[in-house]
Amino acid sequence: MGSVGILLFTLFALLLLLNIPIAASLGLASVIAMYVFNLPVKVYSYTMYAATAKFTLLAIPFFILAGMIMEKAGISKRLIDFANKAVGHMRGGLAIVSVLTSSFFAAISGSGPATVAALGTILIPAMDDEGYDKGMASALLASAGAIGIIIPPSIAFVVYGVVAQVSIGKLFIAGIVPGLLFGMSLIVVSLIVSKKYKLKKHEVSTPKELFESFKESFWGLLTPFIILGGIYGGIFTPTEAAGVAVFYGLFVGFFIYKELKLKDLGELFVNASVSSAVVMLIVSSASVFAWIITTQGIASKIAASVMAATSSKIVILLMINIILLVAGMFIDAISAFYILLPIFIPILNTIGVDLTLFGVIMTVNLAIGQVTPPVGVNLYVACGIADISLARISKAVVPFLVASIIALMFITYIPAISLWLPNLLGL
Amino acid sequence: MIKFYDKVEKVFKWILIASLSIMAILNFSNVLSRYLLHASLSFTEEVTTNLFVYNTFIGAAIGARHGGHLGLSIISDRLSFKASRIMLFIANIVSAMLFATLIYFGYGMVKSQFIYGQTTAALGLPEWWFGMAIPVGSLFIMFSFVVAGYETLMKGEA
Repeated sequence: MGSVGILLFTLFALLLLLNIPIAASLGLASVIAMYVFNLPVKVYSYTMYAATAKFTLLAIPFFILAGMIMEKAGISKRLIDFANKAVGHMRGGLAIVSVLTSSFFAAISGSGPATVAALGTILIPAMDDEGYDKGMASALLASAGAIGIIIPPSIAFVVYGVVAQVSIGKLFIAGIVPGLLFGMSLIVVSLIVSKKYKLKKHEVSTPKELFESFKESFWGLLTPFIILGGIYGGIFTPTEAAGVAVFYGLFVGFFIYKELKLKDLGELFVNASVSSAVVMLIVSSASVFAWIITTQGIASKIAASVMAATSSKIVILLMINIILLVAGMFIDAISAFYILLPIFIPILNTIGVDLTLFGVIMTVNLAIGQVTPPVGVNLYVACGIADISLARISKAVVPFLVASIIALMFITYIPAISLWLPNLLGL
Repeated sequence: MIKFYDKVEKVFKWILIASLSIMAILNFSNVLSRYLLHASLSFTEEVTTNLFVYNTFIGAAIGARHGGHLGLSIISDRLSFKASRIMLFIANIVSAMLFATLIYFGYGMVKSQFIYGQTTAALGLPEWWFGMAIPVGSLFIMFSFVVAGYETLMKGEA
């Protein structure tokens, strides 16, 4: 891949191992490589600026803020209560509740760790109480949180859309069915695993109770329909949808649930800004890294050598999946998009893989990366909540990982799973 | 130094609150005005995206101080408490060095925007107003990494 490429990637790996933040490792590797190979280093600040000042990316702080507002407004406990009244009486009910509410919360928040934090604090202790193994409960919540970036709105899709220049609205719609399939596979595993636990039994709720609980959670349940309906109906763009979600959350929090206080807002705005900045700093440094990869022809060299080795679509997709799963163990989804997409896109164009479909494949891969040690952000959040060791949750997560990878294979090799819905809607 | 920094951080937080609120309000008013007044406020995009750059760099500064930036701790987790502290200290200082170089390059960018009198496309505002976000933001981030490094060294065994 040429000496620039080798230097760039080696430096990046070394700096990462020294526990230098990903954003800084990307930036340092880029600056040093540019300096050594006499590239115009002043490009750095221009590229960084251009990568950050993008209207589309505004969806990131807005969706993060909307999720935090909804959470503070008391949405998660209402969703959990409703799901619990609906399916809680079934065997493994709470496990199903976890997956269902995660999928729904994912449709509000768009971030994996945020989903785990919002639901895990309630559901992990609840599952523990009911007789599930704490390790299993935490592993389930961590895996279910990964649905957060597959089901729209999703920060990962926003960034993928920007890097690959694909419609974000279409990516959002394409993520729905794969996200649900991912959730189903987690439910199946939970039911098998929980056979060995002695679980408490639940009463079936009366239709009246169920209706009351539905009414309470209605405003939360409506959110995804507003966001996706608005985007699909052409009423607003994904970025505007994120802004609308913020105001919808404020409306629900102040006037309907009345749990949001004016004095909470400052903290929410600060926290949302910092969380978004952490993502955006990676975006800006990774874009410099990506600039080197693209302009130095590193991508085309790698693509050429891959194509020389094999031209089988099945083999290449399998290879890409393995690379992504391994990459996902060490780096976050956002950096992976910037670093790897410029390399993959020429290969995908040659073998004829739809870029929307690939967006789903890549996002599912990186969602799995959120629950694979050593760097699985969701695992850290979940074991923090459950107060168990990383080793214990890493062991408990294995069956869920296997199921996720099986779901990934289906999504990779059956394009219809992702593309059926957008095609049906004529996107 | 830490006390001074705590004060600065409070100012940062207010800037974050103000910028994110303005961004959200402008973005939402654009949707409203398109449907209610049939007028597009698309020029607001320029303000929003540029505030976003400031918001990002200042938010990143706060994140830097509190260890909010994602990293790989597989080696440092296996070290003794003292060794891992030293490693984290070095990581913070090396990160600060990156942003020191960015102050330099960002300054170069702003200088040329200033000299050539470049203005923005929609509102005709001087480019360097917004370009400043890079050198100034990098200065804050550098400072925060230094503070974080210092606090890492000072931290006693948990």
